[in-house]
Amino acid sequence: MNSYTIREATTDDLSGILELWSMLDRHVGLPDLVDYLHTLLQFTGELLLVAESNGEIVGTIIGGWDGWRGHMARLATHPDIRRRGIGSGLLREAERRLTARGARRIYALVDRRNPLAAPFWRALGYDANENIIQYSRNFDVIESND
Amino acid sequence: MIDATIREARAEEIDAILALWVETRSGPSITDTPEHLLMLTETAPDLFLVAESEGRLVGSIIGGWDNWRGHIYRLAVHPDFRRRGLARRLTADIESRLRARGARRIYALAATKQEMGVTFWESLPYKKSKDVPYVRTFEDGD
Repeated sequence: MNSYTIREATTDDLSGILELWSMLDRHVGLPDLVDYLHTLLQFTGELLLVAESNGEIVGTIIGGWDGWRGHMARLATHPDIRRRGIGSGLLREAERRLTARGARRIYALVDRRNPLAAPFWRALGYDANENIIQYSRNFDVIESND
Repeated sequence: MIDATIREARAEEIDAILALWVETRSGPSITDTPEHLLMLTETAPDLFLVAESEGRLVGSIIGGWDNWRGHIYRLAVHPDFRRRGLARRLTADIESRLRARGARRIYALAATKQEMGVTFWESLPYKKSKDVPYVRTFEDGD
């Protein structure tokens, strides 16, 4: 079994991160632009984590901290190397960093179409919050990707 | 439109804000404490807004920017001051502040127990998420 390491992302990882995300079946809220990742790296680089194995990016997570709540976004692992604890390792490290900053409640949006997602989050201590509905609004419409 | 001012929350108003949230049945949560609100007024003072009318604190909204997404929490208006456009003004103000910070997508949390909240967000160009919110609470010292 290949080993992996979890570490903070660097600028050199960004294309690998976007490549991994492009392989995933998920609800797309906004197109993924490298600019958005540069913003994250610039201001909260310690909360953009990757899993690396054999020089490749095989997992990601974004920890969001806005002073009131923590949010987990883009928890992703490469389809070929799932069920090896990479996802939980990424989540635990992001949690550690968010709670160190002061987060006491952490949210994650879980895709109800994915049968593996709910058991994963429940096993790691998260509960579906049926008393909350999440709404979203997109602002700038982005016409091109270049 | 009601005569009200929307402005940034001040540290000395924290008790009044907590009292407003009891009145509006917002929350409560583990972070509804003077300590957490004080931290918020220090870390992101420009994204924690209140509405003041007739010398009373009658509304609130918290904006969150985590360098990835924008978030809106604790949109609350005192029952005596509703249906006068205050929630819309609070939302529009926080949206423009979040957009100025760089947010391109904003999430808003609405409690299902508060019918007003759901109706409100559905009257604006917000879409209900297809995903399910999961949450974990960390007790202090956990």
